[in-house]
Amino acid sequence: MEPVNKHALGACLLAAILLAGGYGLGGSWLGVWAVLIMMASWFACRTYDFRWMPSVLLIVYTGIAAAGILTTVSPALMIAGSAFALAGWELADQGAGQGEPSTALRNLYQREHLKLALMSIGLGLLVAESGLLVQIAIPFGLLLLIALAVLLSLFLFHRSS
Amino acid sequence: MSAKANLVLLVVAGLFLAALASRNGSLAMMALPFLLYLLAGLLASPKDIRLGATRSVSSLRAQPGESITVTLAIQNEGSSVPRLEILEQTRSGMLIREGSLEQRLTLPSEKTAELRYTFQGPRGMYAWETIPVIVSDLFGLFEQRLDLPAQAQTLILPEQIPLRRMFIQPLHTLCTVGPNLSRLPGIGVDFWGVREYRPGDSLRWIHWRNSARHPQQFFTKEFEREEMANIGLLLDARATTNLLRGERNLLEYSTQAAAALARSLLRAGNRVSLLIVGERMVRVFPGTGKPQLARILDRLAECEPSEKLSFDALKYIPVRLFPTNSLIIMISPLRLDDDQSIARLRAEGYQVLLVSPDPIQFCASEYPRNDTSSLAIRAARLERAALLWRIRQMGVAVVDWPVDQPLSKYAREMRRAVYGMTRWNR
Repeated sequence: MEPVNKHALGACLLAAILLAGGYGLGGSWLGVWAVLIMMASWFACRTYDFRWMPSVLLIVYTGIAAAGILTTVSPALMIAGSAFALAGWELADQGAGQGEPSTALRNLYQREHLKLALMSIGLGLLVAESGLLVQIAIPFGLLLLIALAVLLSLFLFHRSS
Repeated sequence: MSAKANLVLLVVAGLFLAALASRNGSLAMMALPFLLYLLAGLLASPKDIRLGATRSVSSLRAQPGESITVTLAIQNEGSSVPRLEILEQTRSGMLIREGSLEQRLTLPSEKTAELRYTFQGPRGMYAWETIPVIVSDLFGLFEQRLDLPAQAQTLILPEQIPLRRMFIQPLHTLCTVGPNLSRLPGIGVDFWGVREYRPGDSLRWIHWRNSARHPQQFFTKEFEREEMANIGLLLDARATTNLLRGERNLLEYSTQAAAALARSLLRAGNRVSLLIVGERMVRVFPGTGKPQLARILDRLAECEPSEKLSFDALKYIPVRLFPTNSLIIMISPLRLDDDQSIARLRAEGYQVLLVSPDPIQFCASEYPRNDTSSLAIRAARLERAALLWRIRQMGVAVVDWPVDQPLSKYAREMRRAVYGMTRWNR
């Protein structure tokens, strides 16, 4: 069995609580069950060392959060849930190398990694949650242009890397 | 860009498209943590990568079962590397006893990272050219794969099987002092004959009894000269003859026999050379002493069974690589048509001793005990007996070696076989 990474475990549990809580408050019990089943599968799959399971958890939780937003569940909880799912996925990757010998340089890597992950995802969460409070009316045409510009830049970025 | 970055990009693109389709700003907000995560990775990716590596092994030659420690050191001469993944390569059969083959760490500028592991392995050459590493940002999103040159090699020698010092009596010897009786008068310990005294002969060797019978003459005792012999070891490493049984290969026994014979013959004071017919023709020129033994053991350690080799490889071996009048000790499980190759060796004037690990006995235990298999084994045994008989008829000394028996048990048979052949040829 893969060694337990307490940070990844904590982040995933928080994501599950936030998503399940959001769906629970909205009265959509199907969503709660989906979140809990996914979490249980993640625990079960750790026995078999399925390296792809954290990625599946991230995609499914993000999908569940997006579906929640579209079905009028609290967007703040859904965004926080998906951000914690991202943190859990990233920290689970750090856990993949836990069998390696502990050295000063490895400990330095783990500390720096944890710090940057929490800072970047935390800042992103803060900006996203603040954005929910600000209501700006953007015409659809401009929105389409902005979205296309973002997608094009992502595509170009992907090609250049 | 790594698979991780691609996944995050996919999620971000999906969220933006969903936001656009549903005209829901919250979905676009949900993509922000992902975008900032990507941005942090991009900003933290290493710029000036200058890494150097060295690899060292605890011993250049090891016995089977001996642990070898490999130490990798990676020096960073550029800017700090946030995430360095060392991915050491394994060789087949390597058994890691201690340490890890992978490590993920941060390597600050002007620092050195060290990875150490201990392994055991079967006979063979373990050589490394490079160390594969992945350099990336802390999240592993934007990675660069590098192969840092760091050469090292170690040899695990064939298993040592005990074989006493062998004094065989080959037909031809060199005019150098050695362990073999040359059937010529000279310096030695075995009595050879008596001749008339010549000025310069030592008084210690005067045969007093004959001298007493002939009052006007002196007689001198002669001894049989002891000389060094030229011995060539010919190892057959064709995959077609060296059968596999589970994970065991008949070639292992052949290499062990070759190593034991080389050790024994060199210790006795002979001049030994080696030719391996395997992946390529490997040659060790004739030589004596411990350095020659080390050369032979090194080549035997590297020897692998060859699939690529033509069936007729043995027929066309460059036999002239062996010095004229050598005794050739051929170690081969034999194919049915190999008698022609041995006939060629004999025709070239070499004295040949064939040590043949028995492939039928080696494989027989693999087959279930039934009428069909016992008939097949019997037929194979008959074929092999006929082949060995044909080879013996050529004046070749043959030792049929069942590999479950120790080779030392057959040492006397080898000596007798060569001696018998020498007497027959005389």
